[in-house]
Amino acid sequence: MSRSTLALPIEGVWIGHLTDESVHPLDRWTAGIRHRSNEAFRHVYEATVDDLVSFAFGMVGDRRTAEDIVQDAFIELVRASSKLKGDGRSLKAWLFRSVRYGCLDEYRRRSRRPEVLTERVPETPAESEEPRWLDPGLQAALSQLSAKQRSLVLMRHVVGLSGDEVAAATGMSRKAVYAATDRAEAKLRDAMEGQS
Amino acid sequence: MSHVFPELEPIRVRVDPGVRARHLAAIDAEIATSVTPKSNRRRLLAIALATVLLLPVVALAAESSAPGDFLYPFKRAFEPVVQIFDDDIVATHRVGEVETLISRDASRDVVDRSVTDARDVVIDHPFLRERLERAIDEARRDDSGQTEPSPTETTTATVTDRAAPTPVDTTTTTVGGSSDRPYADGRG
Repeated sequence: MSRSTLALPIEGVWIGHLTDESVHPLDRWTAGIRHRSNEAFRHVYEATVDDLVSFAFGMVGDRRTAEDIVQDAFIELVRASSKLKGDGRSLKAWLFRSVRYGCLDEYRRRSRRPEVLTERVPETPAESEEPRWLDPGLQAALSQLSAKQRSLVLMRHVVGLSGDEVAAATGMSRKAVYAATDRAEAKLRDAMEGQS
Repeated sequence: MSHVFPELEPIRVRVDPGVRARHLAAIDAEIATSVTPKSNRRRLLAIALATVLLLPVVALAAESSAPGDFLYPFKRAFEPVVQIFDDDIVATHRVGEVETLISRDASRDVVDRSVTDARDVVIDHPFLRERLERAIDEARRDDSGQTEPSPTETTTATVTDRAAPTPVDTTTTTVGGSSDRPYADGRG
């Protein structure tokens, strides 16, 4: 599985660090996940939950909804664990894909009940110093992007996934990921500049 | 996280310990509840597979059973299925059971019931009907100790509607007598 890292220029960007396929931190837990080990789930959860919730938070703009989506993804992982194939990368991609689908479901729910978005009251939960809701300006800028573009920007620039990881999580080719991410970045930049 | 879009930095959050604990509890609960049904499903699948594999063995073993045998209910249970492929199977079974019971010196009641069952199903099978009558005749000869076929006794369903016999003594024979062996009056 290990492949030497090559720095290749694609569309003017050096992406050598994106092709690194050395041992993944989640590799040692994939067997435990397949056997429904509590310990394995605990480790995988701790290793990925911040990334997943951050991604979902950027997608739906609501911290609690994002946390619920991530919880549902792990519940789904428990149910599908015996059928899980691949290594730690596949596991991580599976989780991001599941969370992404959860966010898209949330979009569909909101489109049927638009009051959920319009009637929200900004608040700061007592248990957290971080805001529950996404900053309205940032939310407005992100809303200019399609769901797919939003996914790509958040995975790349908030979570810090590599191009390969984004490709695995979205089902796109790596080349398509870079092309689509470039377009999404340009669109987001325009939206942000338009606000200022 | 991102040098390209520092504006996105507020999206990067760290999940609170309380939320982590709630999530982990939900995951543990799901693991606990989803393992059992899966193992049950496997167990049921194993039982079903074993049953399917054992059915032909049981059916084969039950083939020669007769009323009163442990496997006899299985034989009767499989008959509707086997009958799909062999119309004569039920009649063949019933006649064979009469022969088996007679050869075992089974009690008169049991044989009589078996003969009655056999008569009900051999109506459309001349050869089987002939075979049944022959078995009954032989049993009767054994009981009476005679060499010639002579119906010196009868049972409820064995001789009453036979075509050939000369019913000389049919009304005087020991129908439902005290013996618990079939056609046993003539035996020493």
